Amino acid sequence: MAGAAFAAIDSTAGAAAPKTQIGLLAATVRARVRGLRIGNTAATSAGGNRFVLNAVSTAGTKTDITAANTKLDPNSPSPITVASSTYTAEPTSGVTTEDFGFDRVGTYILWYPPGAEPFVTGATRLALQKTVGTETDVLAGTLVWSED
Amino acid sequence: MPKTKDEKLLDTETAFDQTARMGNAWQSVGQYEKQLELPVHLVAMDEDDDLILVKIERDGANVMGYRTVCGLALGGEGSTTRGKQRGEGTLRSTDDRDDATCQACLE
Repeated sequence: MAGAAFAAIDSTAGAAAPKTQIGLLAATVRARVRGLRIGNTAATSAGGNRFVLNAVSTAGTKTDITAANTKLDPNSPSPITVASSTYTAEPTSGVTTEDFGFDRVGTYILWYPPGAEPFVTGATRLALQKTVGTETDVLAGTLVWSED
Repeated sequence: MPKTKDEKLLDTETAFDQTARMGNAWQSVGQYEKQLELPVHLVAMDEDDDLILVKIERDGANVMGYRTVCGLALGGEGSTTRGKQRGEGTLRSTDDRDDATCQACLE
């Protein structure tokens, strides 16, 4: 909870865009997105991928990750924010707060500078989504957040 | 070709058992497909389609969170510290009634 940091991982569900990789749902805490990593585990040729962080307005159909499995510190309390992955029905898009592209043979790593992180507050959601990319390879992704 | 450790695992564990044990650490396509066999629960929402905040217990503290219509807490409930119950919060959920398959949620 307060002050602790967590990470949600997802290395499944390869599919062409649009495809949500990882989602966060806040409750009574503010979840501060600290950074993310996303990369292709099988690509052997170049191709464009575009990802966004989007404040989606619905849940979609997904797997909700056990809170304890997201702890970076095993001795910290479990998060209140619920992380999700393995989407089989896409959530409804909202406002985009981050937009980046990378070559699918590479990996994209983004760490937000302290004070400029996207927040998830109240009963709102934030999703890491692939919006451009035709490959269906498995993508390995990690989304790191902390709770204030 | 001898079976891999993961393939042997899929022969011996049910989808539920595997979810309970492994949480979200899905590493092979077979495990991903097993995950998709889990029941899909409906998230509890009010008449305005807003999520309903309710108390759930995590690590001995009552905190605000969300439940499915059948009463399960998203992200798990109870003592989730360390290894003992780490897989129990992994469930599939939706806000689309047409996608839900949990009979208790649909009653």
